[in-house]
Amino acid sequence: MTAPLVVFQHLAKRYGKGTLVLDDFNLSVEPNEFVSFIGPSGCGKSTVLKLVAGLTPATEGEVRVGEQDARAARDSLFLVFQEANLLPWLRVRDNVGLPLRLRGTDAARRQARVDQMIELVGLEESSEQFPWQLSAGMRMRVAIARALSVSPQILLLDEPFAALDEMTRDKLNEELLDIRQKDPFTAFFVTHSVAEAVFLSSRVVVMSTKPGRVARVIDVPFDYPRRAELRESGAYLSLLAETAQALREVNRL
Amino acid sequence: MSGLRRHTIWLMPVLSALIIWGLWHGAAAWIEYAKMAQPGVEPDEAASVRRILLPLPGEILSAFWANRSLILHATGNTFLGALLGFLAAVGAGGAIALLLGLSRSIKRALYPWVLVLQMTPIIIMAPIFALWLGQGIASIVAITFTIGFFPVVANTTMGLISTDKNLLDLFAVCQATRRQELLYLRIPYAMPYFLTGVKIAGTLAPLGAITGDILVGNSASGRAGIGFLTIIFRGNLNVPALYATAGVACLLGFCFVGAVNVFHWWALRHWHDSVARKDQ
Repeated sequence: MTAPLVVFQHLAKRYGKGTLVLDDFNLSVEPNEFVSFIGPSGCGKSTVLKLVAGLTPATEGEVRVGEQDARAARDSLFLVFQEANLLPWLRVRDNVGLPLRLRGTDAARRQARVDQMIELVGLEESSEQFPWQLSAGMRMRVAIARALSVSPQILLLDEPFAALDEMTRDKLNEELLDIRQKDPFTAFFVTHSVAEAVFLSSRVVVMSTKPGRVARVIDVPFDYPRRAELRESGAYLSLLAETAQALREVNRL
Repeated sequence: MSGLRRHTIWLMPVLSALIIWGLWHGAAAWIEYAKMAQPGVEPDEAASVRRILLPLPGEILSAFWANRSLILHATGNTFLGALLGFLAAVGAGGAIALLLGLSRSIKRALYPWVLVLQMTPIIIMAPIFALWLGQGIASIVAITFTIGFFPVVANTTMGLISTDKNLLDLFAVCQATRRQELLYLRIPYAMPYFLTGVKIAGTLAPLGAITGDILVGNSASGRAGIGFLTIIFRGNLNVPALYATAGVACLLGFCFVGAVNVFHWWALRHWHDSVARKDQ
């Protein structure tokens, strides 16, 4: 058995003097796993990602990445937000190269990596455009290229495709898996879509609410790479039904 | 339809100008007629009174031509006062806003004083400036600066403190330093706010310079500006020249605001909603 890459130990989070968003949240994630978090609104899915990214401190417990506390391991991870969150005054290539620029990577290496990332997400022809000239799907591709530019060990994705239409979302799901085949990383994916969670993940974590806890962990046995046809297979549809049922049970609690 | 619309763009202002020109002449003729209807008033006398109350457009143009050297020279002086005061307001306003945007403590310490400067009526500040800086260009620049400074500070500070939380999170994930966050995020994000402040300051600058000229101007050695000229023309009852000066002041304002608008467009042309998408 491989040593876990990320460990959540008795994690609790309360914002200010408000209610407890997460309580006694425990989970171990191995390297190169694709873990999706699914659950009712307000169950703390995004908070889990923010805690891993070090954007907010834990009230109790801890998140460990390898041997380090998550806040000390920020070099090894990147977060893709719900919105593409691009800087509107920068062209596509400058947006992709922003994290490298901020980390002080020299211009030649930065440009080479940016070209590589733009090719990876298939935006070669749009590299000189500004974000407003792109479709929502293209903007999200830029955000993914930007995140991958720093070769993160862990990629945190907070409902990145929630605002997209179903066709674009399915296409980007497949592209995300293709990218991960070429450039492997451990993924933490927050979503409201059961289909998306099952299609992408190696494990689906169903969360309960008030406070957020791990209610159930569902293993997804399909091998990578996964193709669009998987969505029509009986095993996939059966797992979809099982996950949806688990989610309904959690909602009833 | 589109051809008609294209012509309408030019036709409507020309039509409105012709209507105003006609009404103007009609009003002038009515004033002259009403004066002549009074017993013992000669036609020449009626025309003189009418020329004071409402000079005709032709008379205004003649007055401009006759005083062109004086008016254009004064316009140059006013332009200089407006430009220097405007640049000082933009430079100092932007710098102060940066300080205010950097830290809440600095904002708490400095912002009340910015408000004091804004709230004190300029008509009271003017003699104080004249005492400190003497009558003339330095005091005029100080008045223009005082009028234009606040919109730049207020708008830029607002831009600096309202940076999108998600973008701040992005920079936190990138482990950006505070300097990087300021240079690559907060300042560009605040640019449209800053430029709105610059636009307001640009609109106020000619007004500030003319007001300054009236309050603390100096006519010695050809240094009179438009404000001083209006005092002279009013004193001489040279009303057509007064109108001509008003027209030139209006033109100066348009040029100033036009230049600032071009700069605003140039700075944001690639990305900001207010200009970029209209160009496509």
